[in-house]
Order: sequence, then C-alpha cells, then structure tokens
Amino acid sequence: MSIVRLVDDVATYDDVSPLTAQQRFTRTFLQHRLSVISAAYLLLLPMVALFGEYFLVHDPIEVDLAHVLEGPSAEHLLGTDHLGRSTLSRLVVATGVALKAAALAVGIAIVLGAPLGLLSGYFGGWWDRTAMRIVEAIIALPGLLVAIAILAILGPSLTNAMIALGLAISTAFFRLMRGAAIEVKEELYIDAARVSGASTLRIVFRHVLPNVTGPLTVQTTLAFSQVLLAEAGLSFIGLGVQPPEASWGVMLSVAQNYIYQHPFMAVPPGIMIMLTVLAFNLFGDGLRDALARVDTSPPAPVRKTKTGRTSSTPNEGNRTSVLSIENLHVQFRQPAGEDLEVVTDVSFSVPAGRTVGLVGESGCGKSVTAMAIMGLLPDNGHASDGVIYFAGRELTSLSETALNQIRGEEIGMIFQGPMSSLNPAFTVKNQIAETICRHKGITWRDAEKRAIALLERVGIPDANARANDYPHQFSGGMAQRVMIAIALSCEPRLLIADEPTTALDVTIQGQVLDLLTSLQQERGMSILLITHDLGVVADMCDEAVVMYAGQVVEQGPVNDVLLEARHPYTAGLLASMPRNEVRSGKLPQIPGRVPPAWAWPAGCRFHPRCPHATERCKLPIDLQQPDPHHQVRCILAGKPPGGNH
Amino acid sequence: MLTVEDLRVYFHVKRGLMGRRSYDVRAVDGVSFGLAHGQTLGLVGESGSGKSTIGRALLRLVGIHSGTIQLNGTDVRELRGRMLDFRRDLQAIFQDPYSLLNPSMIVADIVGEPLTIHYGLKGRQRDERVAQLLDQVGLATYHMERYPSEFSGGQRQRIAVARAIALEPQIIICDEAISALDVSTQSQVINLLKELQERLGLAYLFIAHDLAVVRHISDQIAVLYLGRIMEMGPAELICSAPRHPYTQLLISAIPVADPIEQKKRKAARSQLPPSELPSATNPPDGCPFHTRCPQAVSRCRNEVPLPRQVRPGEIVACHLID
Repeated sequence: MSIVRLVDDVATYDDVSPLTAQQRFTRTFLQHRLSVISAAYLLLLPMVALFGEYFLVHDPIEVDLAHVLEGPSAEHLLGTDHLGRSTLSRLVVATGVALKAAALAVGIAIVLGAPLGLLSGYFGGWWDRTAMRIVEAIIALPGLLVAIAILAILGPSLTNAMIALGLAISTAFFRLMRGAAIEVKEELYIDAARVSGASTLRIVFRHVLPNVTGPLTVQTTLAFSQVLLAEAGLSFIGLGVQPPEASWGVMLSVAQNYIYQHPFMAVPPGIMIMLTVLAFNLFGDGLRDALARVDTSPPAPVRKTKTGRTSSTPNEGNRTSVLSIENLHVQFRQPAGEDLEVVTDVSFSVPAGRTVGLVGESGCGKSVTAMAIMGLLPDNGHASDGVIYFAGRELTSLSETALNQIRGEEIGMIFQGPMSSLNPAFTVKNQIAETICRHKGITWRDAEKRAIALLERVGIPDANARANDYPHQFSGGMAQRVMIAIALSCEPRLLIADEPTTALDVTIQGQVLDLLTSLQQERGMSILLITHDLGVVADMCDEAVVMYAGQVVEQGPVNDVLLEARHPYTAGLLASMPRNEVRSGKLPQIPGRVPPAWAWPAGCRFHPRCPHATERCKLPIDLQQPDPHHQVRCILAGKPPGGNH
Repeated sequence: MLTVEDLRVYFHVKRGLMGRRSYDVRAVDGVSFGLAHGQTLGLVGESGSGKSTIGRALLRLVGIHSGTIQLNGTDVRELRGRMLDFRRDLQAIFQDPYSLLNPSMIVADIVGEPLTIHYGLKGRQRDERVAQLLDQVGLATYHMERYPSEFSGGQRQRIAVARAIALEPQIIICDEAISALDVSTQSQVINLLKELQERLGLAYLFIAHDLAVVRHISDQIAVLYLGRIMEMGPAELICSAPRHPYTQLLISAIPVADPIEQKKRKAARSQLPPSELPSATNPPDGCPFHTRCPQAVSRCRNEVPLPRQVRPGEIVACHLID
C-alpha cells in the first residue's frame, strides 16, 4: 500500500463531476422554465425591431382619419389610435426605439462604471475613497430626477435622456464591481499570480474580472429592465421620445388622453412594457442561479443507492443509551433526478456518561449524521429511513417546536469555529444568560450569576470581568471555552461536539479536551465527538465509529478499533497519519480519494481503493461481528488483524 | 543558496481617532536561517508565531522592516529590474486548496500562466509543457480543459504544485500546503513533494503547524514562537530529543492514535497549568515563552535569551540550557 502509483491512482479513481462547467450552466439554466421562456422572448425582441417593419401592412406614422380609435379587427390586429394609426405597427417600431435606448444607457453605465469600480476596489487608498464619495453623492439623488435635470439643460430628446440615465445607473455598476474586486483581491490565487510575476493590469483583467462577470451579467439584465421603465416614464411625461415618433411611453401617454373613449389603446403598450421588464428580471434570476458556483455539484440524473434494509445487528445495551440511532438513511433532494443518499444504514448508540467518537474524512457523512440527530439538516435533506432515539423519544418524528426544546436544553452543541458560532454583537455573559433564561425560566439576574459561574468553571481567568467582553476579545481557545459554557448552560444529557478542537492550536487543543473530560466526569453527560483526528479519538473516546462514504465501516471500543483495526480503511487511515517517529522513505498512503456521493461504487464502497479487494467485494456487504463488541464491514473481518499494515 | 539574516517584519496598527494610538506589531522579530540546494527547512509554530509572515516576506508579498534576504548572493531588496528572474527562482504553494486557484480559469491557463509571463509560451507549445507538468504531479492531460471547482482538495493541491514547478524554481515555499487536506490525501501530497524534490533538486521552505508532518519532509526544522526562533537544527534531533521547553510542549501535545499511549500523555498533560498563547500585539518581556514555561526562573522574565549553539548544527534560545 505504500507504493506510489500517482498516475495510476488518478486514472483509476478519478471521478470528478462528469459535467463541464458549461454543461452545468446550461443544465441549471434550462431548469428555470420561466427564465428560458424569458430568454426566448428577449431574443425575439431585436428580431421584431430589425425585421418587423418589412412585414407591416400599415405605416406607423400614416394618419388615417377614417379609422380612429378602433378596437382590434382583421385589418388592424391591435386596433388604431386617435389618428387612425395602426397600434401594431407603432408597437413594432417602438420596440426598436426602446431597445436602442436601453442599450445606449446600459452601455454607458457599464463602460463608465465597471472598469472604474474594478480599479477603485483593487487599488483602494485615497483614490477609492474619493471615487466613493462622488458615487455616494450621485446615489443620494434619484436617477430619474438627475435625468430630468440634465434634460432641462440639454433639451428633451431620447439620446440625452439615455446619457443622463446611463450616468446615474453607472454608480450601481461601480459599486458592484468595486465590492467584487475588494472581495476577490484577498483570495490566495491573486497572491499566487503575483508570485508568478503577473503585472497589476494582468491581475485586474485576467484574474479579477472573470470572477466578477457573474454578478455583472445579472446586474446588466436588471439595468435593462430599469432603463426600459425609465424610458417609458420619461417619454410618458414628454421628456423622451418626441411625437410623432413611437415609443411605448409615448403610446401610453397618448392613450391616457382617450382613456374614457377607448380604454383598449393603453393595453398593448402596457402589456409590452410589463412583459419586457418581467422577462429581463426573470432572465436575470435564471442567470444568477446558473452562474452561482457550486463546488461539487452533483449531476442529474442520479443513481439511487439501493442497499435494501440491511439492518445490522441490534446494539446491545440500548436501554442504558442516551442516544441510539438505528438504520438511519439521509437523502438530499436534487434539482433534477432522484434523491441522493448521503448516509446509508447507520446504527450506533451513545451510552450514558460515555464518549463516542464519530470518525472519518470529509465527505464520509459524519457531520450530516450529527445534523440529522439535531434536526438541523438543510431544507433539501431529510432522514428518509431509520429512527433516532434520545432519552426515550424518537427524534425524526418530532415537531420543530419540540426539537427546539430538546436542542440546547437536553442536547448541547459545540462547533468547529467558535468565533463564527458566537454572536459578535452581544457580550458573552448575555449569550449564556439568554440560553439559560429561555430554557430554565429563571430571572435574568440569576441567569447572569449562573453565566459567570459557568465561565469560571470552563476556565476563563477573571471570569467576573471578562463576562462583559465581546467574543472578538477572546482568543480562539478561550472562545471555544465560552462555547462550551453555552452548550453546558442547561446541563444537557448529551453534548454533540463537531470538530471542537480542529481550529485550535495543538497546545490549546489538549486543554480544551481536558476541560471536556473533567466536565463529563463531573456531570455524567454523554459526548458524541465528531472528528477526523484519530489522535483526538484516542485521547477522549471510549468507543469509536468509523464512517466511510456514508456507511459505518467499523465500530467498537476505542482500543479494539485503533489498536486492532480490522477494516482496511481504518488501517490505512492509521498508517497514513503522520506521527512523530523516525521517518523512513515514503509515508504510507491510501490511493485515490473518498468518492462523492453520486459515485459510490456498488458492493463494498471502499473496494476500489482497497489493497485486499477481490471479486467478492463488488457484492453488497453487511456489518460483520468478529468479536462481541466489534463490528466491521469487510469480508476479511474474521481474519486476524494486522495484515493490512 | 537562500540566506535570511535578522529578518524583522512589523505591522503598523492604527487605533483610535486619526490613528493617535498607533503601534507596531512585531510579527517577525529577528529571524535568521539558511536553506541549501535540494534541502527542506521546516518552519513550525502555532498561530501568531510569524511562520507564514516569513514566507510572505520572502515572496515580497509583505514589506520588510529590517534585515537581509539573499538569494544566490543577491539581496532581494536591490532587485529593481530583475524582479521576474527572482520570481522564477522562488515559487509558492499556499494553504487553502479552494481559494488557491482562480475559479474562472481552466487548468491549462492556471498552470500555463507563468510560462506565458516568463517565456511568452502560447498555444500548442504552452499546452505541451502544461501536459508534461500535469503528468509530473499525477494528473491526466484531459484535466487541462477543466475548472478548479471540478477537482477535489488533493487534486487542486496537485494543480498548485504543477503551477509552482512550471518555471523550474530553485525554492518552493509551501505555506501550510497540506493542512486543509484529509489524512489520506495529506500523505499523497507529501510523497509527491518528496518525489519532485529528488527528481528536480528543489529546496522547500515547509511552513506548517503540525510538527509530525514537518518531520516527515524536513532536513532542518526551526521552531518559532511569537516571531522568534526558539530552536533550530536537524529534524531528527529536534523531534526525538528536543531541548527547548516549548518544542517539548509542542511534541507532547500532538495526540497519537494509540489509546493506551495517549492516556499516559493525557495524564501528564493535566499536570500542566492551563496557559494561553500571548497575543503578538502585547508580547511578554524577557523570553517570550516564559508565561507558559513550566521551568521558568526569574531571569526568563527579564532577559531575552539569545540563540546559542548547543549541539552540532543546533541552536536553542533558552536560559536553562548551558
């Protein structure tokens, strides 16, 4: 297993998403039916504007006083106006006017706003500050008002109106691009480009710009709809297109005069404006969703992993368990295709007063399992099968209100990033007292006293004074102690700790683990510790549950699992952990990588990476029980351990 | 080949109205080391130790307060027009495999960009070289047309490695290059880096917080604490028989996956008083480590210990070692 076969590995196990970025874009976009219809409609508009005239029967400015204010007829499909001109003909011509006007204004806005915003955001400093003040001044005035003021000086004409609007809207592009540039310039790949010697202009236009085209495109479609409305508005009040030229705004304006004699006249231009603005907005929505970057987007259609109800051996001692999970399956709904299963048939239990470690690499389903226990799965995920018993209640069937009562009060939680889990706007005392108050129903004063006592207990020096500090005033280790204080504030029976020390320095990690251990001894609570670090498992846990690709592959007492690992995956993980010992040649490694959920192989999910794999491994395998307390999902489970190292 | 002497990097922090309460944070406070051809120097330390700042200072991504950095005898502060040559010799791989690669560029453009900038390679020529590079890091040629989002963390780190070796540099600075990867992927990337070192004669400055990982790739190790070197010497010596109390603490804190052994460590650990990493904005006087040192004496509180040679090739900054 220690032999390096770099190219082989990749060739065999390469299962990157089978879709290219373009395919994914197209697919997501096509799923938005309204956006597709809008796109088709918007494509049709320029066609109408360009070629429509050739098909018109009536000249749009030809006056025909014999047929004024008529309703729809075979001769005039959309009726006529007060001068007998065909509404259809005028509508077609007006489309061209509207599109030209919108393109002009949006063009000016982009050409002016986007590059300036990009440069301003990238360089920052006094130049950025000056530009921002100017932009803020422009934004303080409504765009239409600015346009009207400019028109008052230059005289009413569509071109002038659009230049004015373009100027006003360019501020939106400026701010968008500036914000995007500020965000992107902090990315490591910008540093990487500088290290490789790229010039500043190259960085701005080759590295920053392509990453902001998404928001830029969306903003452009929205700007179009905004300008169309503004053009109609300006023409309506007589500041834009001048009669007898046709524009949707002018047509509406005229129709207004005859609203009592011939109300239908306002309908065609009104509908055109509404449809076009709506189409631009819907098109923008679709674009935004399709351009949104999904890191590992599962493709549709998805092969559903059917394992049947391979119920594992029932856990012993369920009666004394605080938490007991049986045959849990978790599925995620896909935008298209069948549901994707990410956790398959997971069963384990957490005995009272004990610590169970849930171990695995990213993508193995350990965090999803924890989320399922707490009822915190994202909206598109659900426990599709199985049961979760906590202190005699079945959690998957509980209502949100009932779960809320249990969360925080009977199940405490701590997460990886203590800083992002604490609210920066409140003092830590406030945050602890609030939790106590909500669940225990005691006075605020008592809750505050308890909060300070808790902070003392979790080892915050000078707790009385520090209780009034805000989260950012604490170091990472101290913030995690505060998180623990909050989690324990209602004396839960179970603490779920998801990578509680991963973000901490190694010397601080030990202290936090010791704190958890001593609190557990003091209060007799159970802990479910989710981690990728087998060293932390050895430090804290009584039992270990190893997950791989959504399944439990090995579980048992921590000494059995870590010292006599029987599953090749556990053995491989243990072997490839860098440890502080004399180095000799290459580090042992597991070839390939954890497959994503849509690419789980049939049979044993580890077999493509397993050094001991045989034909038999391509068939489904249940958990085996070589020892009374030790379960392993491997055909070799019965064989003596150690053969995998 | 690379010599760093008395390097200091200060960050100026402005506080209060109009920056009236401004002060300097000494991120790197007098660090000296050397790196020879084909060798690996590991820089180890916890957060705030200044290890990443040293890497960024070498890459000229942050300004230097004082000290000299010499690459092949040339002071990097006097480069002026020869910046591109310098960039060619010194490349970097950064930590986060997700923000490391420009998400809107395909792999061929990411790996090929340095080739275009430095050698003006374009089109077929460039793509041929990119294919060679990808092959060297274990990626197939058909990956060239794909975007970074289509790859896993480990594969992205391979792409970053391919980009870093594109210019055939002498030194690659690996800043927490494998910290964000899963265990099984970590060892793959370490093995890849070692293999490339043998084949291409690269030197690495390997910056990481995990001493166990650093040991597996380094010839020399420097242990940093609050911007200073506490102990520096041959990797095996530092890891098997550390002299500085901080190195000892660091090594004993790495949890091992052996429950029986780890229970012993846990028992020993609980004897230590709880302590916290001092903030770099307000470092303690005297030895920076004295606030956490189990053996500190009064001299440690007042006097900064100077690095001294204690064993051949090894220096330690501690008053307790004579």
